[in-house]
Amino acid sequence: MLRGAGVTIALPVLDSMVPAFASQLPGPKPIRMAFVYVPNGIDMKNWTPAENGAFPAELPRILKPLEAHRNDITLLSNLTHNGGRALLDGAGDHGRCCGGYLSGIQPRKSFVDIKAGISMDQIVANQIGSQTRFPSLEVGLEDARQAGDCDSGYSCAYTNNLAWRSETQPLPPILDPRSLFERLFGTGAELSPEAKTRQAKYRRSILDFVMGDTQKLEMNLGPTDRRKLDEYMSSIRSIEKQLERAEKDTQQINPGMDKPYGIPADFAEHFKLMTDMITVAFQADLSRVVTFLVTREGSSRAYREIGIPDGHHPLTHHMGKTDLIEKVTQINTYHMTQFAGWVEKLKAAKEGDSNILDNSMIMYGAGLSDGNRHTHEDLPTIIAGRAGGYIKPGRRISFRRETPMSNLYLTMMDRMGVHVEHFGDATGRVAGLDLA
Amino acid sequence: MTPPVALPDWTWPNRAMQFPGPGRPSLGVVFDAAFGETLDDLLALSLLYALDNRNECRVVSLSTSKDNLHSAELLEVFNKLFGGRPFPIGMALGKQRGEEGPVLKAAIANQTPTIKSVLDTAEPSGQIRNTLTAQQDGNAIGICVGPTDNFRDLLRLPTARPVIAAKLKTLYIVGEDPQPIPDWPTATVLVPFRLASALRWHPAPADFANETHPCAQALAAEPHTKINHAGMLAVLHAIRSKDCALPVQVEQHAAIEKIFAELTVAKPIPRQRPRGFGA
Repeated sequence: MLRGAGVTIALPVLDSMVPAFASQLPGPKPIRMAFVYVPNGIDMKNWTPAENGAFPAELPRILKPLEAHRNDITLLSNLTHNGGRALLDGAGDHGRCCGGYLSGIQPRKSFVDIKAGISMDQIVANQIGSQTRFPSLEVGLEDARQAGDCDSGYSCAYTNNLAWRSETQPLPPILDPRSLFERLFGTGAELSPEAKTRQAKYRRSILDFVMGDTQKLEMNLGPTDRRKLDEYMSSIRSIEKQLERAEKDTQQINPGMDKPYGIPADFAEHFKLMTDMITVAFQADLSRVVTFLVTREGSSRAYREIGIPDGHHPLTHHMGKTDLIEKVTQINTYHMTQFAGWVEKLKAAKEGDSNILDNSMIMYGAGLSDGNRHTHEDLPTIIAGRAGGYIKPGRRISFRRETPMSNLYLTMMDRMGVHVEHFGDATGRVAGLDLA
Repeated sequence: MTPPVALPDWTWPNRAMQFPGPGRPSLGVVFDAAFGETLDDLLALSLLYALDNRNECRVVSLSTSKDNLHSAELLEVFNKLFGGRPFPIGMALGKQRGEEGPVLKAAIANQTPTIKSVLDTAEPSGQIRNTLTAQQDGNAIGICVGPTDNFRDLLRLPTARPVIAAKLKTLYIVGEDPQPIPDWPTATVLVPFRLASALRWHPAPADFANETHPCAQALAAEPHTKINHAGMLAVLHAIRSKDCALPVQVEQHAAIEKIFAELTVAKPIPRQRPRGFGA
């Protein structure tokens, strides 16, 4: 840890922290797990490769942003979330599919007396969270309302959260980049009011506060570690700069409006900021478990930045109209482009003789398959990373129809070192992720 | 004769409770068989779909305990022929029961199923469990013709027991010497083959609406195959118990055979189905 006035910054794993040649030892590296959730289903015709096995020469349109990382991703087909279905509870697919996405259950239809299930990320966090500073991180980009009716009688708590600590306690995502930044790297809470004022006035970098410690540490490091530390500090400074720029942008776009958060107006920048911070959190082993609700389930966000002024959710009820389907595909591809940027960043983050991505399972998916018909089978699911060498990526794996998503979660929990006998509606574990 | 373990009480008010109001859908039927093993399976399913076509029941799940893809394909062919619901077909794996007899071979010939590999089928226990979760309480029955592995596997699923207990009214088990599943949480009706041994109805291929009907094809290939009607009896008792008391009395034979003849060969009525899972 580097310490300064009211500031503590965790360090990445440096070579000097481990015994000589340790990187060549077969010892396990920490596995990270993240869930990136996109709403309103996916245009599956432009998502699913025609065949199982190795990806075709040309990836489907929505996956094309991942072209450079085709050998780092695994696409999974035929996973089902039965609890997302109506099962006699009528309308409310958006509420159900998100509310039970990580717990494999059907949430109770209510916006007062909510009940879902403990999500698998929290089961993992409860078991291994003590090994890191934050057992889990919950991140999002849109709308963290927790009350009210967000879908045909289903509480906003279902559509606006992925992580559930208990059946009745969701963990709302952090939307504000500065809040996430301060949570990860220090709040400045220990500063006196005068010091806080001074910090704000001069807008000093948080790195300035740990300058003394950093210099002392650098004197004891070899050239490789010095470069690593420099890269790490640079990435923190880069995030700070993005935050400052984002706050300025917000002010420019909404003059006179008192924005509660310093959230970038630009979706892509917001996405990048949050994922940059998660990357640093992974690098520094601040947390190994992340849920990232890209936008809330049922989101009607417009994507004017790519020329789509229509709401996302209404577009997905396209009734087969090709112009509307085209816009849905563009939004799906836009989301995937942002995700690909994060994958690239994780891959570039070296860790011993591999990288963070190789030691992660970054699952990207949706709680609905066809957003027009609200189907809950063959859910779009990708895992980026190799889980420390367990997963053999670069291909599409189809499971048998109706295979519960909970089966995948049990397998992922195994990889995280958390062995659970039963979870959600699991009928077993999935096989084949480790077969080349 | 082995008496049934527990016959359901079909008298009022139990029977009335099955249809308490206009909003309650007809009985959902989970049908599982070593499908294609005998002509009896095919005829039982034809009879079941004829009753479905008359809105007397809903076929909500089909699965086979025979690990042969043609068996699953044939179930899919039936479901399409009768305009069934768009559910996946369950097929057990690793049961060492995949041998393909002449009935199955003939019935599947020249049909056009969409199932191409085992990945297009579902694991039966999960499929049945999911289907039951979509049924109203006490508004489903199970019919198992042949080995009971798939229902035994279902019972072993950690979340399945309360679902079975709540949703399934009765499980029918048809076989040479059917045995109840230990610790099964609902009423069970055992229908041994000998219960139907006195029935003589034997259709001809030409009785069916079209010559590509799987039953017609199987009969054409095996015209003298012996038919045991126990599966059909189970279907009829489950859906129209007033027409078919168990065990069957001699004086009922003619009436039952007439129903078999009228319904089993009836022209399928394909139609639009509600798209909801298990509807």
